[in-house]
Amino acid sequence: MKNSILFVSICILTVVCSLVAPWWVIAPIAFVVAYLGKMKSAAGFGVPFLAVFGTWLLAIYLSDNGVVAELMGKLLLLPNWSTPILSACLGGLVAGFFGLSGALFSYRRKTWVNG
Amino acid sequence: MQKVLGIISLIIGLGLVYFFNNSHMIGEKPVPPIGKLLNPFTGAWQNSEKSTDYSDFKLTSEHIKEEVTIVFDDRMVPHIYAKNLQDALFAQGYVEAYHRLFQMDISTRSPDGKLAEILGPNLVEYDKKQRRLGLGFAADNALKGWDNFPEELKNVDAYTAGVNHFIDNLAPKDYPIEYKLLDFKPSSWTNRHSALLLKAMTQTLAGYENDIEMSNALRVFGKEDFGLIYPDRNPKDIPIAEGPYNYANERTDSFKGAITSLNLPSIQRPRSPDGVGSNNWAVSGSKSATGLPMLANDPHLGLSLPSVWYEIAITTPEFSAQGVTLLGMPGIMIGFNENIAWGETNVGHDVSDYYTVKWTDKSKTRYMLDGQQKKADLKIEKILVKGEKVVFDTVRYTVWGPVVDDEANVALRWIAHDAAPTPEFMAFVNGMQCDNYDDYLKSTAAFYAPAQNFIYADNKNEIGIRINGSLPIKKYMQGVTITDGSRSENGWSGFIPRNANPQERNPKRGYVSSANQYSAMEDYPYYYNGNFEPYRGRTVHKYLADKKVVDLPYMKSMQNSTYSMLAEEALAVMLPRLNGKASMHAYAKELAKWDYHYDASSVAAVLFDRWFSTFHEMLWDEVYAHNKKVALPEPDYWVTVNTMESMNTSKFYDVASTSKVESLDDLINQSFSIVMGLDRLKLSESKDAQILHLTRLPAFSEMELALGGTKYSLNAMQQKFGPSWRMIVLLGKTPEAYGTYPGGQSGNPASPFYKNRISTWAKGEYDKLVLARKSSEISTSLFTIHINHEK
Repeated sequence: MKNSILFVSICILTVVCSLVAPWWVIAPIAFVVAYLGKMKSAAGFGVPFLAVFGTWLLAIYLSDNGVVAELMGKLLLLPNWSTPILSACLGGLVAGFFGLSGALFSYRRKTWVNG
Repeated sequence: MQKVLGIISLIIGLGLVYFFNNSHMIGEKPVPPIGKLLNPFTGAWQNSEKSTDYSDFKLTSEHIKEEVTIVFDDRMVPHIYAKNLQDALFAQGYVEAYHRLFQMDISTRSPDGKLAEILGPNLVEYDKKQRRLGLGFAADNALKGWDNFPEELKNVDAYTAGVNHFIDNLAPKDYPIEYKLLDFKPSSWTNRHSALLLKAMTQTLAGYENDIEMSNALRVFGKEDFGLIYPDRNPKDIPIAEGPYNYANERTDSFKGAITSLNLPSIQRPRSPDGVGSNNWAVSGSKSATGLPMLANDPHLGLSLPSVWYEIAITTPEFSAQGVTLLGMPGIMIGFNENIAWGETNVGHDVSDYYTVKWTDKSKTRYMLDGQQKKADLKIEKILVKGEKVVFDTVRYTVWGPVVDDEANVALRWIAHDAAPTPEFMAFVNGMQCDNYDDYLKSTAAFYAPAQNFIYADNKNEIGIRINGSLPIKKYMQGVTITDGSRSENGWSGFIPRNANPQERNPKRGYVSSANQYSAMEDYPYYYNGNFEPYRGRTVHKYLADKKVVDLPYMKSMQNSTYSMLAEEALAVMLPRLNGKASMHAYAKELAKWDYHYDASSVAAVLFDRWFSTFHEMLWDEVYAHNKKVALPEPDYWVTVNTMESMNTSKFYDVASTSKVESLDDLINQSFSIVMGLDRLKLSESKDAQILHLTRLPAFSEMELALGGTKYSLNAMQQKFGPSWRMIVLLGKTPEAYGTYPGGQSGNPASPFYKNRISTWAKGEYDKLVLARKSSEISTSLFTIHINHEK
C-alpha cells in the first residue's frame, strides 16, 4: 500500500482511538498499520513517526494557546517553544518503534509465503 | 534476522511505553509519567484554559430539590442562586471542586498523614508525625459528634454530594494538571474530609506548643530569671476585651502538676509557623464617615497557590451573602450579607499541653495513672508509600491523647482531639444568614476549635467582638511547662462558659478590634496563657483611637500600613545610645531619618532588622549559648524592647563569653558595629517574597515579588506569610464591599484566573465585591451552570 495512505490511516486512527483509549494506543495502531500495510523497514519507522508526530503537534497547537507550553517549559527546564515538539517526538518515537517492529514482522511473513 | 530485529524493535517500543507511562526516580529527582502528562488528548495540554473557552452548561442531580443557577462573574466568582439552603450548599461543593479539587485533596491528605501515598517515601516521616498527632483520630471524633445533629448534618451531606457530583463526572482528560503530574486519581469526598480540614485549621492556628522548651528554661534559669526572660504578659498590651468582666472570680491557686526536672529534646512536629495571625476591626457609626459601621478583616496565613481562600456568593429566598471560605467546608467564613459583616482572627490561648507518660512495661502498653496501671490504646497506622512498601507505625493513646514522641514519652492533650459538642461548620452556615447580633452570637457559639476572635458589624449600628471557641479552664501557670501525666487531677478542669468568654459589644470607644493579642485584662476571672501578638493590636488602637472620622481610604491605608511599632520603640532607645563614630555613620543617619515603615524599597528597615536581631542575640546570650545543649524557647522581641526601655542595668547585658562586663550601651554599639560592616540591601531584596504552589514546584509558583511589610506591621507580609485576604465592608442600606487576595479563583495553573489577582493585591488595591441579589444584577458574566433535579 502507498505510504501516504498508511500515513493518513495512522493519523485518523490516532485521533479516533485516543478519544477513548490511553495515550499508548498509538503503539498498537502503528504496529498493525505497518504490519498489514507490509511496510519496508525504513518506512515502518518513518511513516508512523511522522504521522503521530504531526497529529500530536497539531492537536497540541489546537488545544493550547502557549500557557501549558510555558508551564511545561518551566517544569522541565526547557525553552517554552520546545515542549510541544518534545511531546510530539515522544509519541512519534513510540509509534516509530512499534511501526518498525510491525514492518519487520510483516517482511518475514512475505518471505514465508513466497518460499 | 528480520524477526530478531522485529523483536528488538518491539522491546524498545514496549520499554518506551513503560517508561513514559510511569513515574520514576532518577537519582533524587522525581520524573513524571511524561507520556500521560504530555500527550495531547488526555495530558496537560487539555488543561489549557483560554478566556474564550467558557460556555454555559447544564447538569442534573438527584440531590437537588429545585433548580439552581450558578453565574460566574468577570472575576470568576460563582454567584449561587438556589431556592433552599441545601441546594445552595450542594452547588458550593460543586464549584469548589470545579475550581480547586487538587487543593481540597492535598489539604485533607496532609492532616490524615496520606501524602507519601502520592508523593513518595520523602513524605513518610511527615505522615508519621501527623498520625502521631492524632489528626485523623480527631476528625473521627468530630464526625461522631456531628452524628448527634442529624438536621445540621444535612448541610455537610449536601456539600459533600456537590463535591462528589463533580468528581464522579470528571473524565481523566479533565483531571487537574497536578493529578497528571503526580499520576494519581481523585478519590471520593466524604464528610470526614470536611472534618479533616477543620483539624488542619486547628493545627495551623492552635498547634502552638513549647512546653518542653519552657520546662527546660524554668530549670536552667530558675523562677526569677525565667520571669524576666519569658514574662507572662506584656504590660503595654491593650487586650481585645477591656472589661469589666461581670462573672465570679475563678482564678485559682498555682498549678502543682508542672514537671521541669526532665531534660527533653524539642519535638519536631508540623505546627503553626511563626507569622500566622490576623487583624480585624469594626468602627461604629459614631466614628465612621458613612454614619454606619465599617468592618475590616485580613487573615495572615502561609500564602500559597492556589490561594488559601475561595470567593463565593450564595443567595436563597432567605438571604444573600458573599465572602471567602477555606476549601472543603460549607458556608462563608469571612464575608457580609445585606445587613451584616463578619470576620475572624486567631486566638492565641494555649490549648495544647504535653503530659509525661510513665510506662510500666518494655513494650509500652501500660502506664501509671493515679497509682494504678492503665492500658494504652494501640492504634496501628498503615502508611501507603508511592513506589515502595507499606510502612507501619503504632500510635499509643493514653487518657491525655496520643504519645507524640517515643524518646520524650509525652502524650498530647489537645483541643483538636475533643469531639465538639456542636457541629462547628454551623457557625459559618448559620452565621452568613443572620441579620442581627444576638442571632450571630447564637450561631457562632457552635464554633469550638480553633478558637477565633469573631468580629461583627451591622447596618443597625451594632458592632461587637467575641473570643469564640472552647477555652480550657486552667490553674495559674498550668500547661506553660510539661505536666505530670501520672495524676488525672492534673487535667484541664473543664471549659470557660461561652458567655464568660471575653467579649465587647458597642463599647464607648466607638470601635472593636483584634490582632491576636491577649484576650482580656489581668483581672479577667480565668487564667490563660499562650502565644500573643505584641504590636499589631496596639497599632490598630494607635490608628483608630484618636481618629474622629474613619472613611474607606483610611481603612484601606490601615490594612496596607507597613508601620512597625517595634522599630519605633526600639530605635527610641537604641539610636541615642550610639556613641562617637557609630552615631555619625551613614547607617545611623539613615535610621534616624526613617519613618519606621517597612516599604519594599526601604534600606533602613533591613538595617534595623539586622541591628535589632544582633542586639537581641547578644542580650540573651544566656539563652542562645545554652540553646545548643538544651532546647530553650527564644525570648520574644517585645521582651527585648521592654528590657532596654525599663532597665538601665541588668545582669543580662553582660555577655558571658567575654571577660569584660558589658553595659546596655556596649551591646547597642557592638551590635551596630557588626551591621556597619554589612552591605546595603532593600527590604524587597532581603525578603525575597514568594507564593509557592502546594507542590512547591517553581513552575506553578510566583517566585519574585517585591513587597513591603513585616510581621509586626498591619500589612504583615513576610517572605511566605502574609495577608491572605483583605476585606473592607461599609454597611448601609446595601453593603459596599472591597476585597483582594494573592491568587485567583481557579486552581488550574494554566487558567487566566490562576493568579490574576496577585498584582491588585500586591499594589494594595481592591476589587469591588458586588452582592447581586438577582443574577440579572451581575453586569458581566463568564458563564452559567444550571443544575436541575434528576428524577
